[in-house]
Order: sequence, then C-alpha cells, then structure tokens
Amino acid sequence: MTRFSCITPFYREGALLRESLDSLLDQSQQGFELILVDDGADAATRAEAARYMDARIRVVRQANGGLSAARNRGIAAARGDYLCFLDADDTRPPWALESLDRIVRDTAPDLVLCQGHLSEETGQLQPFYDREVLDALEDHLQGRAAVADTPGFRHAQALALLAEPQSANKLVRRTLLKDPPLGFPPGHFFEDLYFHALAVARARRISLCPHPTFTYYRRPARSQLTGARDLTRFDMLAVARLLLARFSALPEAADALCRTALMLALAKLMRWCEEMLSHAHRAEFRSGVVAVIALSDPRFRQLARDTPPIFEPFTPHRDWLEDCLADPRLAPGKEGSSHVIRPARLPRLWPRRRA
Amino acid sequence: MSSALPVFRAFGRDVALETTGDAFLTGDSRWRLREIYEPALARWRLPTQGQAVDLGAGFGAFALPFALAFPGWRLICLEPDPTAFAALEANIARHGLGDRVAARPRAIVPGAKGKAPLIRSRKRPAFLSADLPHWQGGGSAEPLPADPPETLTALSPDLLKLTAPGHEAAILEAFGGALPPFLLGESWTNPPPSRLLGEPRTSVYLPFAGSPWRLRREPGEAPAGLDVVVAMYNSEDTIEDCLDSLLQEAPPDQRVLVVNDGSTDGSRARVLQRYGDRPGLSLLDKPNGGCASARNWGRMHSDAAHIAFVDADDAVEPGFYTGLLELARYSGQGAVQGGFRPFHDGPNGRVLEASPDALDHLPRRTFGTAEVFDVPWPEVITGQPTIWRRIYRRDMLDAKNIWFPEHIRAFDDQIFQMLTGYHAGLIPARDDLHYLYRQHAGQDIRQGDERAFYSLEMYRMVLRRAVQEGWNDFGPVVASFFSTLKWSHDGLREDLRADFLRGGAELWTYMRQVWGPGITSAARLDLLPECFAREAARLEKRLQGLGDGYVFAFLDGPALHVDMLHADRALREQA
Repeated sequence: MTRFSCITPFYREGALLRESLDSLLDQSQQGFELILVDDGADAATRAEAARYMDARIRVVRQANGGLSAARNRGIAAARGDYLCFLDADDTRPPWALESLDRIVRDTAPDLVLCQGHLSEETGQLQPFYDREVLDALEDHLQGRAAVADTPGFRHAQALALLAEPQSANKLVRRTLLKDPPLGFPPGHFFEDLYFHALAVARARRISLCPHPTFTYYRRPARSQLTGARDLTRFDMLAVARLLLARFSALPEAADALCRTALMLALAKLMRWCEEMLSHAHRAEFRSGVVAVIALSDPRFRQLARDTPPIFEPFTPHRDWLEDCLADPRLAPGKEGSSHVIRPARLPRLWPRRRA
Repeated sequence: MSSALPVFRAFGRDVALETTGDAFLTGDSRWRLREIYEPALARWRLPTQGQAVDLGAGFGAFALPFALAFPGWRLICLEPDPTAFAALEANIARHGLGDRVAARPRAIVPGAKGKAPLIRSRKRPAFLSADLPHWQGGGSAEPLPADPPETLTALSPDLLKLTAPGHEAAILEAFGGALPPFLLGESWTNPPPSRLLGEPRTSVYLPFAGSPWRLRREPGEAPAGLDVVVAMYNSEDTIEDCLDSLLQEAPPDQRVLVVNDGSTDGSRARVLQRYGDRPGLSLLDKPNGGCASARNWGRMHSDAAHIAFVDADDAVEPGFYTGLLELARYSGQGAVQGGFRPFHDGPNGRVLEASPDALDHLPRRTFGTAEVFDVPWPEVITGQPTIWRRIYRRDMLDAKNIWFPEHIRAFDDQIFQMLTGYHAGLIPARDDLHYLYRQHAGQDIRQGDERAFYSLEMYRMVLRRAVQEGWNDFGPVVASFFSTLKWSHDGLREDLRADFLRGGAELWTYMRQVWGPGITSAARLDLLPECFAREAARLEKRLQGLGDGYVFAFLDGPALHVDMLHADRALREQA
C-alpha cells in the first residue's frame, strides 16, 4: 500500500535533479510514490527525469505555471495517505520517510513538522533556520500530537506558525487538503507561508518529527528566488493579503498568540523581501505592506504583549512590524489599536529618504 | 550631355542612367530601388557569381546598378516596351556592360506565343500590366512581343527580379517548386500564394504593392508550416466532423495535432480508425488536465512557425486556414483572424446563425480576391473571446510567454485573448472565411457557477502583466473587465453574486490605485448593482492615505480565486 506521496516539481534544475531524486529513491522506507511535475521544464532537466525507470515514479507534465501550480498539480495526482514536497534542488536523508512513518504510526497526525538542514552558500552545513522554534515545539509536545480542543493546542499552533514556511519541512494528511480544497496560491512566488499557515490552522492533530528530513541548499551560482531583487518580491504582498484575509475567518485569528505568531512570521518574510529589494522599489513595497494592513482585519494590528521566550529572536521583525503599524498613512482600525505600544520614536524619514 | 542624366543610387553606388523621359517611371524606379531592392540585397549574402534575370527591366534602374555592384554576375534583362528597351540598351552600352548584361525585347506572359496583349495604364504610361478583366480598367491592350514562362525557367536563374504585374503567380507556378535561390520583386493585385515558394532554400522578398505586406522568407529559416491543435475530451460525436473540416482544402504544410486529454469515451478510437497514420494528422495522448492543458500540450509538441487552436466540437469552412495563413505570412503580424459563425445541430446538419461580429466600421482593402481589414488591439481586448478563429505566430507566444493558465479551468480564452491581442498590436482579418462555433447547452459560458470567479483571477493576472510589461493604455482592459462583470453577474447563481461583486470591487480598486483616477473614464459602474460602487468606495476609504502606486497590481484577494472562495464559503456555511 502506498503510504506517502512525494511531490517534486522540476523546471530548470538540470543535473541537480538527479541528486534530489536519488535521495528520494534511496529511502530506507519503501512504501511511497514519487510524483514528478514537469513544470514546462527545459530539455536538459526533462532528460534527467527521463533517465529514471522506476515504478514508483509518475510524471505529470504541464506548461510552465510556477511552483505553486505545479505542486497543486502534484496534490491532485497524489494517491498516498500523506503528502510531502521536495524541491528539485534539495535532498532528503535516507531515513526521512522511515522516521516520518514512525511518527505517523505513533501519533496519527494531520500535520507533521520536521527538522532539517541547511547547506550554506559557503558550503557550511548546519541545522535549518527554525531549529530553536521546533525544539520549543518538541518540548511542548513531549512526543505526543497536539490535539485540537485540548489545552496547549493553540500554543502548539503558535509555535508551528513561527516555524520556517518551507514546503519540505512538513508531512500533510492528504484528506486535510480536500473539502474544502487547500493548495498553494497559483501564480505567486513566496507561496510557502500561505500553505504552511493554513495547513497549521486546519490540522486537528499536529506532531513534530525531531529527526532532520531534508537539506535545503543555498547555491551561489544559481539564480534562486531567494536572491531575487526585482518585482517578483512583490508577490509576497499578494500572499500576505490572501493569507490574512483567509486567516481572519478562522478561530485562530481570535487567539492573540496565534495571531501574533502569524504576524511575526509574515513580518519576517516581508521584511526580508523589503531588504532584498532593489532600492528603486522599496518605498513602493512599504506602501504595499501598509495597504495590506489597511485592507485586513483590524485584529491583526493587535499583537500580544506577553509572548513566550521563543518569540524573543523575532524582536527585530516585531520592531519592523510595529513601525509599519504606526505608519501615518494607515487609517485607524475601528476598534483602535490599544494593544499596540506605539514606539516613541522620531518620525521615520524613510521611505522619503534617498536610497 | 551625360551630366544632365538622372543619377540612381543603389547598392553602394551612384549610377547615371538614361530614362524614357517619363517622370513617373523615373520616380517609381527610384522608390523601388530604395524601398525594395536595396534593403533585400543588403540583407542577403549573394554568392560572388551567378546568373540573374531582370524581368520587366525598364530602362535598367535595377539591372545596371546591380551589374556594377556584383561584378561576378551575368544578367539577362527582359523589357517589352520599345522606348524603355532603347534606353536600356543605351545604358548597357554607356556603362560598357555589354559582355555581362544582355537585353531582350520580350515580356513573359503565360500562354504567350510570340506576342501577348499588355495594358498600358493611362495614369502611368510606362507601366505595362497583365490584360486581366479585373485589372486596372481603362487603357487598351497593346500586342507586344512575349514568351511563355517556360522560356524563363529554362534560363534557370540564380536570382530573379520580378516586375510582371498581374502575372506573378503564373510565373512562379511555372517553376514548379524549384524557384531560383533568390527571388526579389513586387506583386500586384493577386498576391501569389505562399505555397508557391516551394522548397525552403529560396530567399524571397516580394512586397504586395500598395500595402505594407510582403511575401518573405529568410535563408535557412526554421520550419514554416501551421500546426492546428485540437483539444479533444470526450468528443466522439463531433471529432470526425471537426477533423474532416480541417482536412478540406487545407494548406499543404498544415499538421493537425489532436490532443486527447484523457477521454473516457470512444473519441480516441474514432480518430485512429478514421485517420490512422494519415500524414498531416497526429494523435497525442495525455492524462486529463483540462482544455488549457491540452492546448498547451499541443503547443509543446509543435515546432511550426504558426499555430492555431480548435475545439473538438467546432469546425471550419473549407480553406479556412489556407486563406488565413496567407494573411499571417504576408502580414507577419503576431495573430490574424477569420470570421466566425455560431451554429447548432439541426435534423439536417448544421444550422448556421448570423455572425455576432461587429467590425463593419473598420476600413477595408482588397488583398487579391479577399477583403481584409485590421482589428486594432483595443477592439480585440474589448471583443468577445474568440481565440479559436485565429492563427498565431509561435515565436510571439514564446517571446511574450503567453500560455493558457492550466489551473484556470474555465474561460481561459479570456486572458489568452487579451495578451495576444495586446502583443499582436493589430490583427489583420478577413471575414469571408468562417470558423464554425457549435452552440450547445453544456458550455462553460452558460453555467453560472463558481467558475465565473476565474475571470477575476485572470483580470488580475493581466493587471500585473500590464504593470510589469509597461502597457501604455489599460482603458480597453477596464472596459472589457466591466462588461465581463456585468455579463457574468447576470448569469450567476444568486448566492454567488455578493462574493463576486466584492471580488470585482476589490480588483477594480487595485486597478484604480495603479492607473490613477483617469482610468475611471473607461469604467461602467452603471452596469452593476449599486453595492459594487459602495464596496469600492469602502475599500478606497481604507486606502485613502496611500495614494496611487504600481504596488496595487501585486495585491490580491481570496474572492479572486475559485479554490479559496470555495473554502471560505464552506467555512461560512459551517458557522
């Protein structure tokens, strides 16, 4: 019986794809299918994919529609009980699926978050960015699943929301994505947080896999999205707007800690986007951030004052966010924003300041 | 008196020539050198040696500068008009080219046996043309010395300069597909069909007089041809009708790509049984993924210069693509279109309905026996999506990265129409050939369900592209947006209307924030219920501190996405 569906879209990864696929096919756990989504790939990458003659592989081909559309295509084609995603230039250690399988058997989760590794541009290997957050989640869960409507569930959700929105770091029950459908927002980059946050909100049982199950590579020679300095970064705003609009309808939006975790996760990404952008676009981007806040549920302007210590590393993002919330162009929300402590600062010169 | 002779500048030299004294011919020859012959020869790489034939040489405005610029070439000049011929001989002698340039007082006329009638235009007395019933009118036929085209083909020239008004097609036909490697000239009245170009080694530059169109082929050009992509999903009742119509009077280099999008009925078997290995038709199988994915699939398997998309329940009139392909090739535009007629199935076959096209206001001109006109891009964008009646240049679709978005499972024609329309700039059209569009109850456009929201997502995609690609005018998209809102809203299920208007108002707010208040003149808020304007005003108020900016092209809303809307509605129902 197929238990896992591994979804890997490929586009222009060339020979890198081989490493990724080999790492999947060499899993110690055998019960899985591998869905390769040919997202309008170039000939070289398609040739790499075609070298594999493995019964576990299924190829779905589409005209280039972006990572989100490709992963959605994979979700639609999947037959396994649980889905996981791996980008075509990342890898999994051989024990990944086996460890996940144990978690699944022990805790029957809707969603498993996993530790991972990062391979830096310099070649440095290290734990993935969210090691500490997931460690805190592990402490909180004590080897069990967090279950909805039990004490501590919101806290677990908040920690899960703070985790890196990496598509490779999670295992999702397939039925969780059905009725109503949940997928990646098609046509947008920076799609991961949208999916991550809504999956966390939808899951009734959340587990943690303490064993690293993926390695994410930063590659200096490749023009990865993470290095983009152009308008593709503006997709972050669309994703933020969609996510806040959808999240506001969920009960988690009424929980101050969950809300704050979501806003900090968003702030981290938006701030990163803003700081990566070419200066020509930064003022406009900031206007977009303010517009997203203006259009969203005013509750999102109210951040929890007391947060657990694990929120500490997010302080710079919180400062940035509060700076945005204090933007004079922002009309006050109906309920006011009494919970926000407006920083007593001089009026901000930027974005009027020259780059 | 050589200093008084007019000087003709071409191919890097100034050449003094005797003329017939006719001012029209002198000016016309200069124009032709500058606008046609010189640009073409500047582009081509002629071998150092060869044999050229100058058909309709006049007094030698092309032949003599050519002979001087390409000293390795020999020329034979044919000119039936006695006055011009005398000047031609004098010019050859004057430049001492008698050993390389020969002149013969002949015309080339199909069926000629020594003499043939040619018309001398009253307005342009030096201009001799074919004695064809529809040609020029007035003037009288003059019998002049003439040979049949076989005399010309027997010379097997390496370069042919063609000035034979009214006889071009017949002369090219005489070469039987083995045209000279270089073909240069002009055509009048009846544009020679592109199929006469034969094998691809010929370089051709043959403008169609009085128009900016031309027959052109570059040396070593990629495969030409037309691929017609037929997206087929459970179409066993109509597919044969469709394919039969595509194969009737088809262009010789047309290939039909039938994309079987995972049909579960007998469509596939029918195609195989009826057409088998027939050349010019191939069947491609793919897992089901929707019409957009099937069209893209066909395109990904195509390497033709032009491509068209046909629905498996539709058909075309015989010769539809043959006629359109001429427009595509002569105009070189990114897209060309034919007319279309809706039909429904009656007891005795198709019952055609009147064409809903309203393009009569566009000025027409003749192109051979057809009437053609140009549809400017704003009209394409505001018009009904009819992407299936067009032929597209593949390289335009590739360069502008225009695909059918595969996750959009209805109305994907809309965005394709807007993007191709804008990027084509204008679409040359004729409406005497028709695409036949079957009307039936199951069509997307009649459903009134959530798929209407796909339109909103697509208009947002266009807004973002327009900003990134620097469109100078977004007004037509706004006009189209409002008529789509109105049209979708009217057909929409009652319970979906509020969400639809909310999504539309959000997108409209973004459009206005991007383009500024000026864009409002293209809007038609009067077409929609009042709550649309109220919602737009509410959003605008929230954004009032922000001012206009392109960043709004990058915002989004859940009501612009069918899946998200679906999920949010489910949540609301639970509550």
